[in-house]
This record gives sequence, structure tokens and C-alpha cells, in this order.
Amino acid sequence: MTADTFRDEVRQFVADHLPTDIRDKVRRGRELDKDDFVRWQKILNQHGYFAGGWTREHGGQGWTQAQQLAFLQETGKAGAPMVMPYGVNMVGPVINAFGNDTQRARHIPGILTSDVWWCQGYSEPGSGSDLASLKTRAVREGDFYRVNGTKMWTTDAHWADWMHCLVRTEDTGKPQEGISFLLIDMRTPGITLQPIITIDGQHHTNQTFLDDVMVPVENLVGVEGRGWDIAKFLLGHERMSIADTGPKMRLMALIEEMNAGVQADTRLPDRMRSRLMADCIALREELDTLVGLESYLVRAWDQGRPVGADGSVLKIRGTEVLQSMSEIALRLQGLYAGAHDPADLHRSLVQNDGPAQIAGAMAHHYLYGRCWSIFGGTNEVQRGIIARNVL
Amino acid sequence: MTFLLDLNEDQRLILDTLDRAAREGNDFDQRRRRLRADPPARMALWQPIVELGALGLGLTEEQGGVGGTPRDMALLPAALGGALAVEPFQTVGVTSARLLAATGDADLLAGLVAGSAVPVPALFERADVFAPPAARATGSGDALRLTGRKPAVRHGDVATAFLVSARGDDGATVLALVAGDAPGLARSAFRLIDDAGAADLTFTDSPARALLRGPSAEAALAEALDWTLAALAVEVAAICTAINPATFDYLRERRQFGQPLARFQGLQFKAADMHIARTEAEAVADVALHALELPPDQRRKRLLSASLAADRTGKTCAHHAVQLHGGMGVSDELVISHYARRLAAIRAQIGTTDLRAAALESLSDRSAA
Repeated sequence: MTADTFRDEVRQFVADHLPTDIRDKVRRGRELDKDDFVRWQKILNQHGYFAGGWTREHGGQGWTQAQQLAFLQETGKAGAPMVMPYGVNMVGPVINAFGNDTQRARHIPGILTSDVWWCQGYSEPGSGSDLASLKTRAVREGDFYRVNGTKMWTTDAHWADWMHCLVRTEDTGKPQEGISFLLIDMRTPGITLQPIITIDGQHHTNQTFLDDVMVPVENLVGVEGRGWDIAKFLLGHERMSIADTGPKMRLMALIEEMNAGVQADTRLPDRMRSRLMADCIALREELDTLVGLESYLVRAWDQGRPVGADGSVLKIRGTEVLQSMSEIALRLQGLYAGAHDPADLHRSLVQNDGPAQIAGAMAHHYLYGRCWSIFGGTNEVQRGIIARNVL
Repeated sequence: MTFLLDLNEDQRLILDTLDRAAREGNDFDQRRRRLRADPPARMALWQPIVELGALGLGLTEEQGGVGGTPRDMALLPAALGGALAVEPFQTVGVTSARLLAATGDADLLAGLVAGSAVPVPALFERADVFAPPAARATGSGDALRLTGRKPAVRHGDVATAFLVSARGDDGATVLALVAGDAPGLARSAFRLIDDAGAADLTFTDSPARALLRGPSAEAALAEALDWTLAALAVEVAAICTAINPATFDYLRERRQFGQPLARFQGLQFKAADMHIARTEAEAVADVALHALELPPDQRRKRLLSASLAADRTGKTCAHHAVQLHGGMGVSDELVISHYARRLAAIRAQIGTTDLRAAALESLSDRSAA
């Protein structure tokens, strides 16, 4: 099947199967509940649109990278929720690649049905960009590891059944050595969550405290002390979705619609309108370039281009374009450009959105947009990676 | 040491007093809890600061105040902006104070300075905040009736009265006073990005009182907006002087890859850009205060330019401060994100940046012609 045929199929599938309440929530900028994500992922799985990058042998679809990209773009454009990565795009591929048969039998089915929800425990208060310095300790005691430490930015941990976690099993040698990859049942005694409210006033993420958490040794994935290899494997896996252009194309369409309204309002000063027009056009160019860059690289990777620092290029441009988009989205709100109420993102869809709510949704993009150049490796770290690659 | 130049001993003393009171009364965690409450407590700091005479700083003694020069007025945003007060100190103490100063109404001025009344300006109707008002004021004097809409009025949620711009039967601009509980006045409140409140106002044949009419009303409105732009430029400088040292401390203390973040050249350059922006912001505040002493026909242009500089320098400091703090920068638990939100609100407070840039372009055309 050509990528274009596949793209048409995805578009039709979303049109036919995306529940309208979920679509409207996404289009109107509401926060999604866990149930919305689960419902959509189950629909994807039932119709053979889940775990696209996995091999068929592992229960996936065996899509090419170009197909995976087409899926991401078309679902994003149409207002489908993102597929939450912590299970199917992170721990799933890790278990498939590094786990044993028992672990695959136990965990893979729940990941594919989305009945088991995952979060990741990597960053720590003292280990953000410098992940290898992590200090959460796992000490072997018989058939268990006793785990003590604190994980930061554990997004959606309050929804999760399991956490995949990087822990330190040894202190000697280089910091990268002695890191191990553990699967932790969130119901284990000794785990406490403290919500972290982010700049947008929402509760997405948490601080997770692990106090004498006893984790069975059979939940070690791969070899003890070789968890860093897994962390690097995961980083490589992220590049497909890193530019996240589907939702950006949807936001840009919204910005252009709002700009059309501004341009049509002849009571506004011509010079104000022409400034906004010029910047919307400049942004359209940047987004088109990002989409082109993403498609080009995916095809080039399929044809043997070494990945190098391409993921960092996409991450930096993706976050910069999103931040520019969110700023112009605010500038188009006129008198309401200062409106923002975190509670509005949880309003019922029955309530009409006035200009304050519409502007507030754009302010949410602006505020949450500041996170993207930080989470998952800051843009400074990404530029460092590029520099090391090219210099 | 304050970035405000040319302060006399009295002004320094007032600044220190306000600064201390604002910081003590606006402890970060308490403030955060207050503003997260349902409903948010958005007037907690009002009384203690009002009692210090803060609302009289923009008024002369004859007007019932304790100052009246641009530099007296600047003490308000310098102290309270830096402490992230959401109470309407600047809106009342600068914008409303200047409007009422032009009326010379001693009773209204006394109520404003005492803080017993919270008169909030409702001057804008659409994105072009400099356009003449379309709200209709029929009749005259104490028998005025007001009909029209004033959307997104900052502090409209806590106002006890409104100072409303309107168009009279004869086409003249009218500045009208409308009681907060006036018949025919509907308010719909919402929250702003900096945690302050706002309200959409609709007046339907509401009883009002004409305070100023014709050229005197237009002059008062122009002056009040210019003073507000200057106050916001001062506030931006105050915020930059708060977030920069906090960010630099963080860069010195936070260690990654075995060394302080301050050792990484990419971060050093960002810190240097923040310092440049902050220094510019301080100078721009000074330029804006000087501009208030210019004749009205030269004032607006300088203040628009200063407001664009304040937007730009504030944004640089805010975005870099958030980025350099990493995850902590986008956490609501650290003050940095709150400053970034306040700076975003400032960029939209007197028209958007684009509107003010367009207004400056138009004025530049005219002076070139």
C-alpha cells in the first residue's frame, strides 16, 4: 500500500470512528480524562490502528515509518487524542526488545488493550537534563529490590497502574553504569504521589516518592546495570512523534480562521491587521517547513539516512514553531488576550464558549507551550547533541 | 537599590515601606492559596496597602493625595508589581486617579485615596483601545443615562464603581461615573492569566453622572492612558529585577553533569541576554516617566515606544527565566511562572502589542508628514 492510500484510509477511519464527544473536547481545547484516552486507544486497537510501529509478531501493525507518520498527522489534524506514549510507545517496545517471555506474556496484552496504564519514572529532583546522575536506589534483598528515592515529572502517574522506572543498582564506575530498568506496580506499599501543578494551572504531572518499595526481581527488564542502554533505545524511539505536527496543523488552521476574522474586521487599524497577517504568513511558512522536514527525514531514514541528531533538529524546530504559534494565537484575541482560567478546560461541552474561554484556550497553549522546550530534554541539551554530532 | 532614579528621601522611604508591606502581606504560598480558593480572594492586600497612603501617590496634595509627580506614581508599580499584587492598586491609583484628578471632584478623590471606593476605568470596547467610544451617554450632568458594552474590564469583578468613556448626544466624548450596583448594569466576571479578575460589562440605560465632557474628557482619557503605560513600563522593570537574580541564583546552585549550570556557555549567553533586557527595561521605565512631562502631542509617541520596549524586554526575561529554570520554571510552585504570567497580562493590558505598534506607526507617519 502506498503511503498516500494509507493516509486516506486513516483519515476515513478517524472520520468514521472518533467519538464526537472526544473530538469536540479536543477541538474546543478541553482537558481529556483518562477514560477518553482509553476509549480511543481501545477503538484503535480493535480496528488494527494501534501499536503501528511494532512488528506483527509482537501484536503490532508492522507499519513503515512513513505510515506511522501519516497516522500521527491525520489523527492529530482530525482532533483525535494523542496516543499516550508511556505504554505502547515506550515500555512496550522495551519489553519486546529487552524483556523475557514471562514479562511479554504478562505485560504486552494489557498495553495493547490499554487496560493497563503506564507512567515513566526517569527524572529526579537532582537529575533532569543529566539523567545518568539519578539516585533512586534499588538494593537487592533476596527475591526483591528495595527501592528508595524520588521521581519528578511523573506525568499521569495519578492515572497509572504501573511505572517503568530507572533506578540505581550500583554506585561504582561511570554514572551510566549501574542503572537498571524496573517495572513497578503502582499499588505497591510505599509509593506516594504529590501533584505538581504546572504553569497552565493544570495537574498533569507529579512527584512520586518511593519509600522502601519492594519490587520483585522478576520485574527487572534486561540485565541489571544495563538500564542506560534501554534509556538510549527509548530516545531513538521518540523521533517519529517528536515534531508532533498533526496537532500543530490543527492549531494553525484555527489560528488562520481567527486571523481571517481579524482581517475582516475593518474597524481595526489597517496597520494592526497587516502586522498580524505578515506574522501569520511567516508562521505558515515555518509550519509548512516543519511538516516538510518531518516527512523528508522519515523517508530519508527509510532509505538509509543515518539518524544522527535528526531527532534533536525536529524537537527544537517543533517546539519553537509551537511556541511562536501560541504567541500569535494570543495576539489575535484583542481585548481578551489576557483571559485565562484553568477551570475552563474542564467545563462541560454543553456550556457555550465565549470570547474569554476561546482566548483562555489560546493562553493555555501559550503557557503549556513553554513546557515543550524543557520536558524530554531541553532545547539547550538538544543543541548540545547537534553540536557534538557536527563538530 | 531601586532602579528608579532621582528619588528624594521621602520617595525612598515610601518605596521601602510599600515594598516591605507588599512582600510581607503577599507571601508566595499564602497568595497562591488565596488565589486558588473558590472564590479567589483578590482583595486581601487592599486595606493594608491603602492604609499606607499608596492610592494618593498619583495625586497632588491639592487633589487629596501625597505626591502627583510621575516619580511619585512610579513607587506604586515598582513596589506592588514586584510583589505580584493582583489587587487593583495601579488601576485605581494610577488610571482612575488621573481621570478623577482631571475632574477636580474632591469627594470622589477622597473616596479613591481612602480605598473605600474602588472606581475602575471601563474605557475599551474593542481591540482598538485608542478608538473613540461608541457607548451612548444621553442627557447630561447627574441625569445621564448610559447604554453600551465594555468587554474585558480588568478588575471589573471587584469594582464598586466604573469610570466609563462614552459618546454624548452631541457627539462629544463623555467620562461618566456609574455605580457598581446601578440598574441596567450587567457584569460577567472571568479570570485573567495573572490571576486578577475581569468582567464583561453591559450598560442598558443605566443611570450615570457626567464627570467630563468634550475636549477635557478626551485630554483626561489620553493622559490617564499615558500614565498607565508608564506605570506598566515601571512594573515590567520591577519584575525583571525580581526574576533575573532568582534565575542567576538557580544557575549557580543547580548542578548537572557534575558542574553548576552557570558553567554552561549556552546558558551563560541566555543569562547575559536577560541582563541586557533587564537593563533596557530599567532605562525604558525612566524614559517613560520622563515622557509624562512632555506636552500631550509628544507624549503618546514616546510612551507607545516605551510600552513596546517593555513588552519585548519583559518577554525576553520571562521566557529565558522559565527556560533556564527547566522543569521548575513551568511549575506553579515557583514564583517564576507567576511573573511570566503577569508579564503576559501586561502585554495585553492596554491593547495588544500589535495595536500599540500600529498606533505608533500611525503617529510616526503624521509627524513625518
